[in-house]
Amino acid sequence: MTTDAPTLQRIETAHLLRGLAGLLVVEVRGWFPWRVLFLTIAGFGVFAMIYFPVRAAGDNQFGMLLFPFLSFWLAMLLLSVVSLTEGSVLGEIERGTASWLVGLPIGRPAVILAKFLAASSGIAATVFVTGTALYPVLLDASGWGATEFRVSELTEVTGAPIGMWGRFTSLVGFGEWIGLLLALSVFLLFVVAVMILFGTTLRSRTAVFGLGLGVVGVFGAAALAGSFAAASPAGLLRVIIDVAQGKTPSVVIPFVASLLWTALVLILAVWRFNRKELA
Amino acid sequence: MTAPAIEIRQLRKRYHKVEALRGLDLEVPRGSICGFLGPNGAGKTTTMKILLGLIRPSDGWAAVLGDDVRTHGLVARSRIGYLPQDPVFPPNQTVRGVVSYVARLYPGHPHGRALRRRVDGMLDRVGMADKARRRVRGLSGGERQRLGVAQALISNPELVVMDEPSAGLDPVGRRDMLDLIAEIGGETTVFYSTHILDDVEQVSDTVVIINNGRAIAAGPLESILETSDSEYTVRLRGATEGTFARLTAEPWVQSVDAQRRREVEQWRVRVTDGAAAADRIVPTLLADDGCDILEFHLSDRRLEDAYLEIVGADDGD
Repeated sequence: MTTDAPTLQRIETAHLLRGLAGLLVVEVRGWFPWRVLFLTIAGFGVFAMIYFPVRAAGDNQFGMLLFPFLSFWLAMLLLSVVSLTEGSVLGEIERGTASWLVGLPIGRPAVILAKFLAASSGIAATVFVTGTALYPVLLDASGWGATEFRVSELTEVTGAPIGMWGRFTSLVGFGEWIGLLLALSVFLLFVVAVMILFGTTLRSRTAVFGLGLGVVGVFGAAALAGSFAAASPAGLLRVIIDVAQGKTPSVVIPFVASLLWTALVLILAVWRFNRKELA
Repeated sequence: MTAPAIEIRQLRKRYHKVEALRGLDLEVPRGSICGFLGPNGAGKTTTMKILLGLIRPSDGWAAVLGDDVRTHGLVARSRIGYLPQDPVFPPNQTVRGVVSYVARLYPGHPHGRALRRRVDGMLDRVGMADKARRRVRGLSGGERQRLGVAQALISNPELVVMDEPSAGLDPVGRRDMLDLIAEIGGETTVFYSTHILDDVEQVSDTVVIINNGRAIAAGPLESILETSDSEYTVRLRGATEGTFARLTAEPWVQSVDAQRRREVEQWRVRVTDGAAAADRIVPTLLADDGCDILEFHLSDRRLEDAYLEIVGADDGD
């Protein structure tokens, strides 16, 4: 088969994204449905298995399960994102599938972009499915018939030791709850981009994993400190805390800043991968 | 003028302190089946990876079908089918999934049923039709190799690059691979590396020998065989001393290796000038009535002999 000149010209002009659609299909299949299902079941399902039997038995200590679970869910979600993305680039390079892919008529940026989009969609789906399923449980914990929940009330009802959650006094409606899930998802997109960048830069998956956790830790600490967080992805974590505490935080700057940071990190990852020698 | 399938000029590649390619020059004509030979570490895989854009050259220039692999890498790759040395594919994909996926990446690919027909036809061609629904992770090494061939050929590429295609195959698989290379050689250019010189003799029409990062011999297979010294085998009986002395005195004779079994003597006569030997060796042997010539023939030169001679001479320099 001989490829005609106009077709070859189109290949050149579509350089950046050539092969993206096909790659995306393959990558998305890596997340949907099993990985997302697993994360959702691991997140909500395990809790529901314990919570609902306790609730049905009329035991008012169920709140003791709820707040440790919320903290645990967030921690496990962050840990899962780091561990599931640490091998997305470096794993392919180590296995040799990256060499095979890059030897095909695919633009290298498409490889990075496909990985980012697939992981982001999988993680966002996990956050929204789990979070949406969790909301009725929070209402339930606040008392039947409630249309919104107040975090601090849950302590009064249950008498559960809930640590930092006890300071939160805000009423959280469903719309706000979805907004919080969105903020969490956008923060996780940034984490995915960082993990991909580390995968194109470092040579050890352990190092990628460790540094990934480090980044999450640093931004988490910055969010709690709250001072310089607004113009960074930590600002989104700060928004979650502020909403729960009844404040009205500015959301535009953290969202825009996080998306810009994510884009910058992705550009760096593409640049690194373009220069990567797949020997 | 049509550009060669592969054109490489003064290509260099340095890995830290190791120089893998040291000014490689080579040209592979379109339509040829070119065997790319060389010892381990000579630079064969490095050369192929540069052609595929997997690594960047430190210096020099390489083009595939006229397209510079550095500036027009994507265009070049859209005209190449590539079989890596140890093909690895996404483990969760099915055999048909891998081939379909690759097929869709190339310009002008068919769609729908036509694509499925082409994929099924290719799987049938490489003997994987009955394994189309199997996942890659369950394939043996030989099956992965066959899958690698299928995905390399699915786009009907103008150039097929294969890195040791018959490595790891059983004898039947190797036979099938050679048949396949010979078959596609009629349709496209094939550039493949191997250590099995027998295979090259069977299917290649062009050979490039590389050593220490430089091409040390290149051209049609026949010319490679002719560049090395010829060897005659002579079996004779009787008083052979005079004939032996006359023969070894000829300037075109490099050496005569004599072995005696009972009354029959066998000589292996290596000559440096094939044309002079063809003219003079028979009269020289027949000049003495005291011995009878029982057998005389020009030994078939094998690529292995030529290869060892050429690489050995280069290492000796």
